[in-house]
Amino acid sequence: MNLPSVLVIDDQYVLDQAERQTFIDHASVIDTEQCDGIHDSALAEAVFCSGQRRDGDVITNDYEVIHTAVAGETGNGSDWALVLLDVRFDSGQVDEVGLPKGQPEDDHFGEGVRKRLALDFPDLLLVMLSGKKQQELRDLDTPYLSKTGLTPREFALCLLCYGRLSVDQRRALLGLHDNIATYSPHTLEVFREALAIADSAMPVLIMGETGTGKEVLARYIHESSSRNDKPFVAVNVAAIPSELVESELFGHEKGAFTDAKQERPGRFLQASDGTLFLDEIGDMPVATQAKVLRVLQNGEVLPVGGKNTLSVDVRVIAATSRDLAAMQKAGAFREDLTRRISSATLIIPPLSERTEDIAPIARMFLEKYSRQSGKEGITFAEEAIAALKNHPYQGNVGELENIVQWLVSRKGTHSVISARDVKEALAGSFVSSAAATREKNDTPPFNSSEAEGLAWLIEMIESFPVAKDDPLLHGGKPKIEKAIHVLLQRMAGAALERFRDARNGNLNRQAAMQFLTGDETLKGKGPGRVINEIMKRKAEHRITEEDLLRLMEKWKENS
Amino acid sequence: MFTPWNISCPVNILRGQLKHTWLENQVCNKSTDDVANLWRTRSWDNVIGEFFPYRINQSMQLSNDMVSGFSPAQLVDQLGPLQNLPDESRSRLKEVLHSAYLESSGISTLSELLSQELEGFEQEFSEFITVWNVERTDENESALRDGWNQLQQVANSLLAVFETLPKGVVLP
Repeated sequence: MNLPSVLVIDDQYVLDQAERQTFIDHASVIDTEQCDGIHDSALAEAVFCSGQRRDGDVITNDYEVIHTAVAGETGNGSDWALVLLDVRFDSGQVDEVGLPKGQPEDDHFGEGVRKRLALDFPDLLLVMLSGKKQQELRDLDTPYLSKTGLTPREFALCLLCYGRLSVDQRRALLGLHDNIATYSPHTLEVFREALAIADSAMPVLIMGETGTGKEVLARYIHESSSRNDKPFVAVNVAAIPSELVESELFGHEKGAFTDAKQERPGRFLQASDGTLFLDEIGDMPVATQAKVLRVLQNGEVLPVGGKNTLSVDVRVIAATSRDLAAMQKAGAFREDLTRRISSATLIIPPLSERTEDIAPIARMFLEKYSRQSGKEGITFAEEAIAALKNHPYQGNVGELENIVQWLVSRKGTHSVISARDVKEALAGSFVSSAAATREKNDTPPFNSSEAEGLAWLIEMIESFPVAKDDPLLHGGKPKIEKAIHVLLQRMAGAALERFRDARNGNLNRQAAMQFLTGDETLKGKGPGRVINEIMKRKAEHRITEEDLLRLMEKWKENS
Repeated sequence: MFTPWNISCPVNILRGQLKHTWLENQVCNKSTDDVANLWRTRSWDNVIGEFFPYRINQSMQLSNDMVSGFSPAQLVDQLGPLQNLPDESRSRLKEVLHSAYLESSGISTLSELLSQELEGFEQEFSEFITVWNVERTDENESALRDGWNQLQQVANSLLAVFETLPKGVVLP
């Protein structure tokens, strides 16, 4: 990959080698005139132009010198990823110490050049150089780069914001390695925003559908910050029973509750000096939200059962796949907490909106699962990649990962994954989509009421994708009863999987039944019994015929 | 400070050069690590030994000349229509303009402020240059870094004054 080329037009950098070297070191660039090799951390190649000509003891600011440099070999300025132009140039008679005495037009020469270049090279990407601090330059209409306190990161961000770069060059400037296989302009822009805020202490809210890589982005922010040598602690709020959330986050004292046999530090303390990632923050109980808000405001946690608060210095990154604004309206999420955690908001697009990422991500997972299973040399045929790109991925990256993992499990060493293999995998992937959809829905906690349980079930049915060859859709209008039976059976089956113990594969039927119906009398009963119970309640008009017909129609529309 | 058309004058050329080329680029923009590196490699011996004192002198000159240098009285001699006036009238006009400018602009106060800051900078610099000229050792580098930090603090204060200076002939 070639480094981007930057033209630096500054009189001092040509006249004064020490000044030039300072810029080179701070921006981490290579001086193309003087370099004798590439150094690994270089961000760009720099060519320096004074913008002046010298006749004896007289130095003159000369636009033609600049025009020639900008035109470059192509003649139209396209050689340069970016042009940096100083605001002021010192010209005139050279005095007794060799410095130009100055001319009235020196102060405005840079601005005048900028305007002329904009006319002569309409596509030129140009940033002004200034000695002012970057904070003072922030709100100006013309982009500026401050020489004061310039760091490689500031320079990289300048190039990313204003430069003409290839995808590989963008990835290099962002510091993205092979484990972050994103190539789409949209997602790269999200990472650029993340890099810009990485080093601040402000909380960040990452929004995006399930499986889009919110934790990957959170880790990137942490690794790009000055806290990268401190802990990164991730908590999935949705996975914690509501009665344990506070203990998990804030810790507890010994004896604080029945099972609290010893004191335990919470996640906030574990993440002290580092970063705490609160995934699915939308699932946090409202009472806990108030306590988290206090921690963010005061920098202190109070363990459950404790009397004294403990100081914490934590950078919080929160993530959600839910619509917090809607939740606020429904009273399920605090507005003040939303404001607090969304000092900076990043939105990751779904995989369907960044299809350029599908192939590289698929290859990344291929390598991962090939390595894990000890199968070398498995590759994708080009047609297989094309087939992968055509899938909608309601489950986003998570779904793609499942598909690739499944494919690897069915292939041998040095085999080629064909388009047919992919199509087979995708045909079964509505189960994966269902899994993703299931995770996406806000499931009520274990002790939900019957109404909540059934409402959840209906909501899941509405979002459940239907394969095109589903028998429910063929042979005329099916008998409603039978169709509902089959439909609910499938949904119950998918829902029940949620309660499968990941360690031993056993199904916790009791929890599943309780969850589905909120009815303890059904505990220990199988899905069939549950379905019958639901049908009975339907007969008792607790689910109406219209509800079910509406659901069936929606299924057909979605096919 | 009323300078609607940024009418240039020699003191403004000097102001711009000192602020941008010297104070911003060569002092405030230089981190301690930069300066330590320049000290080690001796790349800046000429800058510290020759250019900085030269710039300080230029700044003193600016401070001395700025009251008259930014005065609108100078325009009386430059503007064509006024050149036909008798010398006495032009002289009176200059006096009036200059008085009005002194009264309304606060330029004398700025000049004093600049002068004070320069004295502070010069003092700090004279201490810094003794630290600069010693043997390049690790132990001496520590003193150099401290010296540069202190010089930069004073330089930032001096720069703040430069930021308040007019950018052309001041109209009353």
